[in-house]
Amino acid sequence: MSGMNGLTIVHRFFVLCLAMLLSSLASADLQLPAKQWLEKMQTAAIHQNYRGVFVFSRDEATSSMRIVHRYDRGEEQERLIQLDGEKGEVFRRGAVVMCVFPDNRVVQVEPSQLTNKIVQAFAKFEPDHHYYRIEMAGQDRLIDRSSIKISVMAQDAHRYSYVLWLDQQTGLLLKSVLQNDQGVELERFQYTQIEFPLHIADDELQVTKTGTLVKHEVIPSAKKDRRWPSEMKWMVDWAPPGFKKVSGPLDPGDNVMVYSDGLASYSVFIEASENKMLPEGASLVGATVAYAQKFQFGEHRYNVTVVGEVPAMTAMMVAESVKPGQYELDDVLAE
Amino acid sequence: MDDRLKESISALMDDEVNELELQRILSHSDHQELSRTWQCYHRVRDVLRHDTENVLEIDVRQAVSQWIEQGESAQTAADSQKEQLSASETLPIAQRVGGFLAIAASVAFAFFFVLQNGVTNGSGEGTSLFVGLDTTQEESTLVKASTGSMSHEPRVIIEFSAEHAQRLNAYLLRHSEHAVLGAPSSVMPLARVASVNSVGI
Repeated sequence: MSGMNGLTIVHRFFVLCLAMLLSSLASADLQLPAKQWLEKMQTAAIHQNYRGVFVFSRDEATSSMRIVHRYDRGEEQERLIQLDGEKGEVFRRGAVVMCVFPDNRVVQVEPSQLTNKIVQAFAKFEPDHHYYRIEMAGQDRLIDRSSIKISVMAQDAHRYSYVLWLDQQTGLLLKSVLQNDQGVELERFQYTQIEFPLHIADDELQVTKTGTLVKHEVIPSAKKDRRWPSEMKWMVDWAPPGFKKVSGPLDPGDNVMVYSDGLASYSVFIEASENKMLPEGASLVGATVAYAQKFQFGEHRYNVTVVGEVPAMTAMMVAESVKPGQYELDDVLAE
Repeated sequence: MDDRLKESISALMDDEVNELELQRILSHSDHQELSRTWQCYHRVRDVLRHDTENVLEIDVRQAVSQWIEQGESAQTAADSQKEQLSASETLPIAQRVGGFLAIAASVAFAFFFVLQNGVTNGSGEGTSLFVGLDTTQEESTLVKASTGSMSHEPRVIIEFSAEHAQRLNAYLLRHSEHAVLGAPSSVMPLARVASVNSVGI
């Protein structure tokens, strides 16, 4: 009997120590600076296994989606299933994105030209304090979980501000609100259900529809060919402060380019003008702008489209700075 | 010249222009067609105001540049000069433009719509894409397409053709593939794509 009591006391002591240890770890976590929480968030987004349901709102539209995310043998795999309206799905395996549309078409986006080296650099690229004021904004409770609230306030008019809620235990982003410089909410993302299983089975990541595979050839290819405009070495003369080119070689070149400030990103597409181009000006979908502008170089008409989560004015300034690289000009004019 | 730019010129006349629209007008201001549209709009308006002798030969670039430089003060000055403007044809360009900016309230929606159609047809271009001002937003399609800056709600809803919608979706898809590597959460870019798909673009 006394032996049993002894065990119970030891057991209770062990539990108490464990609770104290966890508690001290949790409070230590709370002491982390906001930037370290952002690092934790980026790591969690890649390395955690999770499944859940989230709501994504922009403009007047709200969609519910189920997500399954797995990190397996150094590669991320993700499946999003549309829960409202007609069923559509988006798959990602590493940098390859595929969409299954309600009409059963499967659209595969051209595999990224980003090399592993660039991807790794991109993943570590963090928002700079010159362009964002990053601060802890307290604790909160979301879907029955403790969360850390972080405000990431834009310091100029070339980017948006974010309020982020991170899961205190894992660092995963549970909720995000994106605001413009007037404080108007443009986009909201929020989990309504989340779990972190140790293992996720393959069949949870399988495509449920098998339609015809359609290559996405509507927009320009990042691959070089010998036709205008991809034969040119394109230059983007202006980028908002803090944005860096994260795709392809650092010297002028591709007719598809990607820029990021560590938080927001935009893509620049340069194409020969056709009738099907977007109307000139800004097309807005929530926080995403697609700014289209036509230009002429010699006899060549070309179209620049800037797509990203930046203000329309910034997208316009980027679009207007795009021009053919200087050393190619003589060759083209001589044709 | 596209319909959005024409809308921006109309907005400039109505003193409802935002910064993005001004910049777009400036960047196109060397185009003869823009000058012709600018003059055409003024002629139509002058006819409606029974002010036909006030035919304009205004340098749009100079006028807009001055408008930007002077900012609020230009508008204030214009208010005080409004009466003089209607009586005089010899005022400096900036004052004349300032006056036009101040007339905003007098230009009605119906008139605005007639202008758009008239100019579009006259130039031999395709059918106007404009479906109305923000008072008709409930009739709008799913995508807001305008020259509005982020600090101004877009005033004009442009109905996207199926081809345009498909193209926009294609850009968003490609951008999501890029953005998925650098967003705070890789879910967000994909959610943006799925969200657009779900509303049928």
